[in-house]
Amino acid sequence: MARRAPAPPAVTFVLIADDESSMRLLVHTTIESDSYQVIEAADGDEAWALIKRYKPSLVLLDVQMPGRTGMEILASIKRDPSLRAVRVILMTARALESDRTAGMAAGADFYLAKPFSPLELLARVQEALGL
Amino acid sequence: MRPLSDERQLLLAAMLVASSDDAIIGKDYQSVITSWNPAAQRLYGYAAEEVLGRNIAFLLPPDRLNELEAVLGRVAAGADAQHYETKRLHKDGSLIDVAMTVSPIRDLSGRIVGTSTIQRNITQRKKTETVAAEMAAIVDSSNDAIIGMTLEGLITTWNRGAEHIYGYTARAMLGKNILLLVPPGRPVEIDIIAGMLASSARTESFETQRQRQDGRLIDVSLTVSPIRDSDGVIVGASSVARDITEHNAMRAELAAAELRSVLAVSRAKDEMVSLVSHELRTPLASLLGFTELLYSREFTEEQRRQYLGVMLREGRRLTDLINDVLHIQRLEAGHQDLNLAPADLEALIQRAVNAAGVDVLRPIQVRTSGQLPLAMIDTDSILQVLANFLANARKYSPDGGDILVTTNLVGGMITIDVQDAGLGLPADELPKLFATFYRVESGDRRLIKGTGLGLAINRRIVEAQGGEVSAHSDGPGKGSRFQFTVPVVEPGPKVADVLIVEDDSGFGRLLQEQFVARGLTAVRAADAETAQRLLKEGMKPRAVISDLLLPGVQGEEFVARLGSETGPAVPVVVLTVKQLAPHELSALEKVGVTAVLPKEAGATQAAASLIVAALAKE
Repeated sequence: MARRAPAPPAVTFVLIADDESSMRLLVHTTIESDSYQVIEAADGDEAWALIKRYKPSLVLLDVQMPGRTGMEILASIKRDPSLRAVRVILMTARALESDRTAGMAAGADFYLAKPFSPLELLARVQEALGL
Repeated sequence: MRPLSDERQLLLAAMLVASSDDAIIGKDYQSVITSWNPAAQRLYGYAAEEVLGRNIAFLLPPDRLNELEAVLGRVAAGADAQHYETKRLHKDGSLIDVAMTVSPIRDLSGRIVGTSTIQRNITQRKKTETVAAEMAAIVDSSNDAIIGMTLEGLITTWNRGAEHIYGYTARAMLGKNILLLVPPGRPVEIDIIAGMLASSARTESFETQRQRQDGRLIDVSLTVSPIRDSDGVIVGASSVARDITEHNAMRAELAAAELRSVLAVSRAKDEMVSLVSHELRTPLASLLGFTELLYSREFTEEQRRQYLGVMLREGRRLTDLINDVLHIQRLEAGHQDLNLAPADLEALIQRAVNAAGVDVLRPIQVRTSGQLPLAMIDTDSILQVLANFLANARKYSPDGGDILVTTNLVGGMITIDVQDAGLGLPADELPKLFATFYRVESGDRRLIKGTGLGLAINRRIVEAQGGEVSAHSDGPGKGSRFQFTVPVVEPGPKVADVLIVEDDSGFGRLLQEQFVARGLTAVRAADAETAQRLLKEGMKPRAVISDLLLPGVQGEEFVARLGSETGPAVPVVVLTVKQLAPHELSALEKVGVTAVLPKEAGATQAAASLIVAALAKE
């Protein structure tokens, strides 16, 4: 599932982690850009492995995934000093205000409730990457 | 005073004996009766002339015959008068309780020549004693605390129940004041009695609290009654208390349990709403997201087709989800519109297999255990259950493999197993599979889409018809087996006036109602196979109504074979939406069809009237 990029470290990586293939396709299509390399993970464990390996600048993280949940991955990122530069946008089908608050409190840079506008997502991605 | 002469003394003694209230009986040394006074006659019913000269033994009950010898022995040995209580036989055969005094009679030389017995009837006293003892035993053995007290509240009786309920012994409480048991602010027995004096009530019962010796408060149901002396003057109160602490606790527990179950239902509803909204958001996100992208950006034709394909899939997924949610909602609300009818399960399975279509990688084989009895089911919904299990078996066999459907008869139920050679299931997942929205999320299953409702729907349908569902697997990679059960039709031929062969359960029910309204019984078979089975098993309908478009064997074939199965010709009415050509109509007439009616408004009444008229002609 993951489009494994070659690993010269100078490249900027953006990771999409979502267990729904249609969502990965949507997000990938939306944020496709020459400025960074998009990689994908289809579950939490794969996502965590790719984060540690590629140290992406930005992770678009589904909250409910098999394996590690998005919230667990977020906590792991925040605990790991080598991942201090990683920005995180949570994408979730849980739309309660309390979910948003919990996500932001855990250190997410932004929180998008499904369904979201792809154009808004793109704007948030560019903002997070400082483009 | 001058001493009486011997003669006068004897006369006086004789008068005393004659006028005594006690029976006085004299016997010689051989126990032969020598004297018998009037009181003895009153006591035993025998006149003196009946008994004089007879051995006294006839007055003794058989089990007390040795008593006589024992007493005489003691008297002979020089003992003084013997006092004892015993039983004797009355002339009428009844047993009487008597108190006896047996004394020796001596001659002038002091030799014992006989005995005298003075006897008193104590039957009444014995009875009173027995009643009192019984009462005491009842009071003592009662589980209720029964307390007697004076008008000042001083305790005069304290039974074992009171010891148990209040924790104090009788010794500790006799003479103590009842106030010792009454928590502040609770009614006191003696005050209640004082109040009752005015209202002339006999007892008063209510629930209150009392305090035990250990300080614990207990809930009691209390009954207070006045105690009167023989002149009817109230001299005290009795207090009967039953410990209802446990009873009250149980009542509270029941109320709490009821509340909990109401809350659980409401929580389950909340959970359902939250799950549904979550499940809806994901396909909606793809659908809306791609719509927005297609609307705002240029894409190649290939990309457009890819995205539209995703949208179509996600849109269908949404529709499935909504249908399943509505379905399960209906099932949970108990609104299952079940139309139970006898059904040939093998025909039903074959139909489900045909509907599942051909998949060369995942062929479905059916193996049934000979002739199964008819099942009593709602065919439409059981067909759906079968379709669902078959679809799952294929869905979770990504690498292909045979799918095997088997049936068995086990204790009045038919079991249907759908076995695949697919992904299999870990043992700990098996019990959770039938829960609403539950999906197994192991790596190899993640790509397989589903609403998480299919098995939950199956379970509800099967259980509503008296069956059970279960899942079995030897583990991941070893395939899965899903089983459900359905009840069989009670043995013996099904008897009814009219046999209706109609796969549309709604229309079938309308027809049934028409016949019931006309005083006829009707049984519906959902397909021709079931109808043929019913006929073979001895159903002798007086008329048949058949549809032509049926799921398996067609109506034309069914009615053509009818003659050989029903024996003498019965009226047969065909109801169909088919536009029949003249040669088709005459073919039906040739095989004995009475009438062919179009399926349209009013068709059920028309068909029922026709059949009633045909039956009336017989």
